[in-house]
Amino acid sequence: MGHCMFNVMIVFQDFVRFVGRLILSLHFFRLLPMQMTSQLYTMGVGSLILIVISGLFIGLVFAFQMYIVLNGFGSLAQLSQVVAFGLFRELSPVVTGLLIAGRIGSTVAAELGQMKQAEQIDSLLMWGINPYAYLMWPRLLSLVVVTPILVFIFDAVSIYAACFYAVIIKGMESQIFWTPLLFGNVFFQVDVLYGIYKAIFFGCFIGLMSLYQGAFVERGSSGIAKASTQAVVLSSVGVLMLDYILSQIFY
Amino acid sequence: MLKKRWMDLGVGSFFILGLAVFFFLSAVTGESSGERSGAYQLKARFDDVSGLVNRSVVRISGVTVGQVNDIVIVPETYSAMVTLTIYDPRLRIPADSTIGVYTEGVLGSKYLSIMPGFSDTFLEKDDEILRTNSAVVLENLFSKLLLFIGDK
Repeated sequence: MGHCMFNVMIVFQDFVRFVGRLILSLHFFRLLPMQMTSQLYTMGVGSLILIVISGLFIGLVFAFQMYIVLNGFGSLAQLSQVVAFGLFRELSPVVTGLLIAGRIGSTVAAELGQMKQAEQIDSLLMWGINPYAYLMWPRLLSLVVVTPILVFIFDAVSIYAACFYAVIIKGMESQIFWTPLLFGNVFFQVDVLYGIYKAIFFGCFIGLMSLYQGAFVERGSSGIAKASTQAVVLSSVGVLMLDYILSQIFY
Repeated sequence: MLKKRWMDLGVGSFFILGLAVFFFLSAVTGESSGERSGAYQLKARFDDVSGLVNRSVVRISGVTVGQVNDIVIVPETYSAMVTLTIYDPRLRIPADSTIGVYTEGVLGSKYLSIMPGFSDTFLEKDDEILRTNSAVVLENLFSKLLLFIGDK
């Protein structure tokens, strides 16, 4: 038990040291358009289909369940508001966060771990290039930029999927779906942007955790496997914990 | 080089898509009342507003024209002071209008309904609607009914 606690302390200390180094290297950071473009492309455009498909099916299943419940009360006019509330505030940032942790977190950790093991990071240092500024800041920045946009896309796709379920499959009037959304209790400045703020924190956290796992990779081929696994596990758990804390703070 | 051009195209379209979705969502969902341009506030004093909450809707002839912003107690008279927002500045309400607390359906949520009066003077910003009807509390009705039956 004591040994385990000691290990956790060591890891936490390493993480804090890593974040400190990252922040101190900020003034070495130069925005290279080519580098940013390739990162934004792999992270943003690459995750687009994943996000669209997840949003589609989560919107459908959420509308399906809520339709049953609300039909029992005879208050189907509330359907769009219930669905929008659940999706915009919680489901869409959290699911996007988890998907991104799985798809991008593992990639980033494995990529950096491989570079570290092949001593490419050391050779960057030899050339006098700060690896934190050259390798890590572009990845972190593009992740922080990409996550909120993906959450916006998730929101739009899932609300359209819910509309599709209610209107096309169940034959509800489309007016009854869209009008309560516009004049009801779902507000853009509150509910939609609230999910977006969460997404920015999630992107930042996933980026930091994955970069840390990659940068502090252990020797040997199992080191990379361990780093990418740890990156996904810790950022997923972190997203869920952060979600609760941010909900408490914002609401 | 070709690959780079495709990448630029992809990233550009991604950002434009994000922007489009931003405007779509802001068009589809409502705005909070403070942000609506030209919205103005009115006050009304009730004896009982049981069931009324912030964001409850305000209606005229069944059409939603505003919402409740604030409900506070007036310490001198123990009556409830409700602040409500009317969204459309062109919608002017006659000074002798009556406002009441009504229930949607039998057990639904409460809302405010304004019955316009016939006066030529109209309420201005922050004016008070003087004629009010309080909420009907089901338990009070029942107790009256039971007394009535008991008398027989």
